[in-house]
Amino acid sequence: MKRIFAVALGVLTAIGGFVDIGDLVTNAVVGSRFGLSLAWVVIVGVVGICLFANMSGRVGAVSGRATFEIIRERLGPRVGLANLGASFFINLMTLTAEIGGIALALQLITGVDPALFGPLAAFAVWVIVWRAKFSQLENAVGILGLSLIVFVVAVFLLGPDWGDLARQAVMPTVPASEQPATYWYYAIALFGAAMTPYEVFFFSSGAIEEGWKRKDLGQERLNVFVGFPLGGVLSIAIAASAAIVLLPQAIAVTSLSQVVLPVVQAGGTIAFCFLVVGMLAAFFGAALETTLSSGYTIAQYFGWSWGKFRRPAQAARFHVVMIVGLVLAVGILATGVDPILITEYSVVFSAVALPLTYLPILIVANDPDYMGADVNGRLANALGLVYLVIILVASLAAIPLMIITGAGA
Amino acid sequence: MIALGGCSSPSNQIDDALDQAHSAVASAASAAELADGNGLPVSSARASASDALAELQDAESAVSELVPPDTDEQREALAAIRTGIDALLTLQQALAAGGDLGSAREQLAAADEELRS
Amino acid sequence: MTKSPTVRAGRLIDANLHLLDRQVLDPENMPVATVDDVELDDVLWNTPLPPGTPAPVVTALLSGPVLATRIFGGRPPESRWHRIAWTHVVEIGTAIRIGINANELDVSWVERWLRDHVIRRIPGGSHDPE
Repeated sequence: MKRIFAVALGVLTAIGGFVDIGDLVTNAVVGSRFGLSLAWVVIVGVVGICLFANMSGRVGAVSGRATFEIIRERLGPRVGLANLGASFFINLMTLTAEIGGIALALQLITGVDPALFGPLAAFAVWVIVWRAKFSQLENAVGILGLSLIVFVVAVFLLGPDWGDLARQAVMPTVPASEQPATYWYYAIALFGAAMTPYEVFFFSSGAIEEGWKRKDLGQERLNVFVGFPLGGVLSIAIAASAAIVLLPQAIAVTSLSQVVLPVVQAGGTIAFCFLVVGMLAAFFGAALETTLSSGYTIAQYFGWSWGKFRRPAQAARFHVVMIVGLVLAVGILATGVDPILITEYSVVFSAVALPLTYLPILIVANDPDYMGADVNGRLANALGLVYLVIILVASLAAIPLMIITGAGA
Repeated sequence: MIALGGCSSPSNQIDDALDQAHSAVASAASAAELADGNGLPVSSARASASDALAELQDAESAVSELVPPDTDEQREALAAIRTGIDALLTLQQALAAGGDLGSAREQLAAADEELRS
Repeated sequence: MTKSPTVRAGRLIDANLHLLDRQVLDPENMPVATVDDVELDDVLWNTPLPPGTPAPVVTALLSGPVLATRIFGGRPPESRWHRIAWTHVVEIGTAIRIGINANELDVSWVERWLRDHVIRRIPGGSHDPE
């Protein structure tokens, strides 16, 4: 019984933890402007993140070393530094967006200006990072994040034309009101939102935090291959809710307050409550993960001690880095910049940085020194190479498309 | 966002601004309808209203900063956008006063009509 | 790193592959530093070795604020390097294990400084996570 509970917890946490503000906003924007014609990108992205998260979890469990430590050892300090720079920059953007998202969600509940919530949210994130046990933190936000299932429920309650939705998804076309270039720009944004770079570093460090060994790989695979696709279903449901309610009214999503409208239309106040709980859990969870990721990547590159499994006094530089990261995020938000805008840019820049972050993982997962007999099988490598090509194409096309479409205007 | 599309012709920019304004007014109208006894809390409706107002003001400045200034098309667009802004302000007052949203909703509907034409 | 004909029995390792950029761990599995360079005795910096010279001996692992010079070139002066004497090295595997505690080495002074002056001052810093 305890086994089943533990297994279920792992999977549920993976589902609830999948969606962050990048997924939520990008899927809502896409649904409101393109319907479900970009749903295929979510599927491609989910398969990709499953593949690489599994690889990085395996690296952590089998070798006992986190991916970033190995990147510097195997690929040298130059590549490692480039990777670190890109990762830290995107991490910071994502962290700023998540904390901004927490503030926006709190505004929806209280009506108070979100600018006042930024420092409070960051402080709450820091307190949890400082004191809470790793597994407790992950489990709590993961389970609460399941509240976002309200999007799936809402889609059913809205009684849509299923045939129409299916047609949009299966035979994608660019809507008359949009340009092809904008379609592909949002395809890349959606892809970057699904394959969040910090996820893989977090996953392998998390494997070590939780003390995973080879015997835990079964659970790890279950979490990834069942949990993440179901999380992908949530993402598509978010897009669908916007497609059903907002698209026909020519409402293009530009703020969080619009994202809640379809859900409230479907299920009233109760749905609203589930939604804000889910959003707060998702954004808070992602803020915790990006904060920890910023600590992991820098500490692992420079060879410092790291980890929530150590008391702060034994990982001083690790914790100082995270505090600095949070302070920077609050600083950026204090300039009054719109968190939704930051979110939209962060997912595109994530896509640009994907080759830098994913190629090393593919290389490390094939290294027999670290992995022994658990190196990538042929299927994993074949898929990995296919995805590397996709990632490269997306990365190269992102900035030109951003310029041509005016960042998706 | 609209500012980044500055490479397009003034006519296109006016269309973009009108789309933006219409999207904002429709969002506000939807929020007002849901707040009028259909489950949307006032706090969320107020957030919707202020977000919509920000979008409308963005559209207004995009149109009024166009070169050459003062064409007929521009004046019509600005008038429609300003109707939207007025409707939004009425909505905000109604939400703050906690009273009936009926007249605010009518104003929003009228603004929506004007923006669509 | 050329191989000397008088190499003693033991493992043959490639300094670049197995030493450089490796994590150094102390007996309690605490990360100490990353190896940034290796100290050799009897070798002068940037002078070619005459043929027939006996192979230099590794005397220490070096760590230091050398990221910029590793990437762009040049070398910081001796005083900027932290030494981990070779005699402390216990095992060379995917990480390098040393026999003395991290706290006794100069190389971890930043960690100790931050611990004593920043982390310990914040409530809960010395406690295990709850």
